[in-house]
Amino acid sequence: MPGAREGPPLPMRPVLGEAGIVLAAIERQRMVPARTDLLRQGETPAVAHILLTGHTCRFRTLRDGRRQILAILVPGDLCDLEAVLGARADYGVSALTACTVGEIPCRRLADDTDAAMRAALWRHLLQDAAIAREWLVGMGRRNAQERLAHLFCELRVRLEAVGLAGTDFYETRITQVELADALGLTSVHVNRTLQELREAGLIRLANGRLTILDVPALERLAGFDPAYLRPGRALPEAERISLTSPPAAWR
Amino acid sequence: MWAGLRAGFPLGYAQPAINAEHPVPRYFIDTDDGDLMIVDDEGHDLPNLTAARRAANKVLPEMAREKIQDDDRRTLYARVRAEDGTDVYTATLSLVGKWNIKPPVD
Repeated sequence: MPGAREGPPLPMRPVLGEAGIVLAAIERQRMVPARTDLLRQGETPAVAHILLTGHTCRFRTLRDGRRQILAILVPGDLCDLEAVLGARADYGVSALTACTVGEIPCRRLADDTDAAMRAALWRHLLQDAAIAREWLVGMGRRNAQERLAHLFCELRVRLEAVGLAGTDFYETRITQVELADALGLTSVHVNRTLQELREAGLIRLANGRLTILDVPALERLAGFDPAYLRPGRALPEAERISLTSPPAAWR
Repeated sequence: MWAGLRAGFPLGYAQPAINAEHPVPRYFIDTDDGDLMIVDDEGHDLPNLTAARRAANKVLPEMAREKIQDDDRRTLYARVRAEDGTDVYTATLSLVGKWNIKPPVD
């Protein structure tokens, strides 16, 4: 329903500037319907997947079916990099929405002679780890409002970086159940917390679009500092550890 | 109002086909932490009444974790409504604290 949406239209294709080197390695693209597994827990991945459109997640499922979403992935993210490098998935990857993914053969990622590719993989791994630390802090110490607000702020910055969010809005088709599994809350509590944020005049959610009505206030509530989303940028070039020399175990 | 963020089905499972004769029941769970009452206008797809009760019971300790701090009296409520509006279940969780000395003045 494009007519019903507010704000300027978003580009149809994400801007994937930084991921260019990885994008160039794509051998095949495919469409993935919502709620389809791209990778099963315990599997040995045959190819790596880079997300081009839509949202996927990494997750773990406990024996009784309880699920923890470990990461929500946006276009430009590598869905299963650690699994490819480790030759075994200790998590599953599932499409949260209808997605397009690019398949990259493992041998391209393992190519020792391609310094630019290795630098790009390092950046992906560092960013994944930084986001995971932030989620761990949230799960351990933030309350429900802070967790939800923090996730909304994080997704805004990550989507904006690939041209998929405006300064205060983005498309999201993530369900309450999925948010609950990502935030370690019950979906009833997520529902309550969404309505609290709405009543506080911080967000509006309609037709699959999240609008942040007061970005500074939501970031303040969340204690959100976007610095972690740019790992390795804070230091001047000379003081940075070289990103082009991965550990021998990778080779 | 919350279209696009409806309570969905778990990940990794195929979404069940819609069966007009036996649709997944939808329950609405209102909550009140003593400061703010939230009427659920979104609802949750839950298989049966037992699951609806579990959902209402489980949200109370989560709310308690955030709300119970500097009070010695607080009651949290959760109520389940069926799709036809019937009030089917209520749960309350209460904190009752008591000073055994003269209460501090702060």
